[in-house]
Amino acid sequence: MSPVSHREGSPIYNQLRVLRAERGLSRVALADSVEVHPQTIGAIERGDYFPSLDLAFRLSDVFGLPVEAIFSRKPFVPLSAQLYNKEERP
Amino acid sequence: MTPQQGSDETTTVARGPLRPMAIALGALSVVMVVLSQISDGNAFSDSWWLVAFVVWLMLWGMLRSMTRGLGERPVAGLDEREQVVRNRVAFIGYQCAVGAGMVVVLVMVAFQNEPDVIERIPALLTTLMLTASALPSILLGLSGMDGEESESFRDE
Repeated sequence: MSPVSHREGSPIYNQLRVLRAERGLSRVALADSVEVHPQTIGAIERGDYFPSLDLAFRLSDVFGLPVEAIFSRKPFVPLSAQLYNKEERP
Repeated sequence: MTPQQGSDETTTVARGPLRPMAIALGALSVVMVVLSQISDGNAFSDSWWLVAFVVWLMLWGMLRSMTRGLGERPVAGLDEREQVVRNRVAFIGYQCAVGAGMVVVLVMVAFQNEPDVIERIPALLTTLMLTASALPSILLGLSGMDGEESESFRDE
């Protein structure tokens, strides 16, 4: 039972999995650093749970990024697509 | 196995029997409701219902101990998502308890002149109340969220 807080048409996308992979952080390590259960990190990554503002700020502190770099109302463009499109540009 | 930086494989503990146990407890509750209604008279003297009752208690005890990490931990030890989950399953259990009580009252009112039906009410009420009280544990078991290390934390 995930406490899904989806509102129809307004999901919150996140980059947690990408950022974790970049920094070589496991879910457990990230969960420890923001004092939540690792399942909560998994639920956020899957979009099953939207974190509170407090937790979002704690996550942004861990990654040293602004909240909007981690969470967004719009889907994040995959890094590979960004790089590929940049190279394709004249 | 020690947690490694960059690895999500932190434990090999699987969910195990949590979900099957929750399903079994729910199914057994349904069986007990049926038995309480088809028993010859008071189900408390019906051996099948009593056997089911004992098995139910054992299953409930095991399920409760397996979900106590989330179900019974102090609020201070829960993160925000776990608190939401626990509040939700507790609320569902409360609603079902109230609903089950009302169903029994309505049955008693509707069949007040039929002693055969009234005689079966105590077992029905017992079953429904037990089921409602166990519903939070059943829901936690079905979701696989026991608050313990039940997830392998592997990346998909």
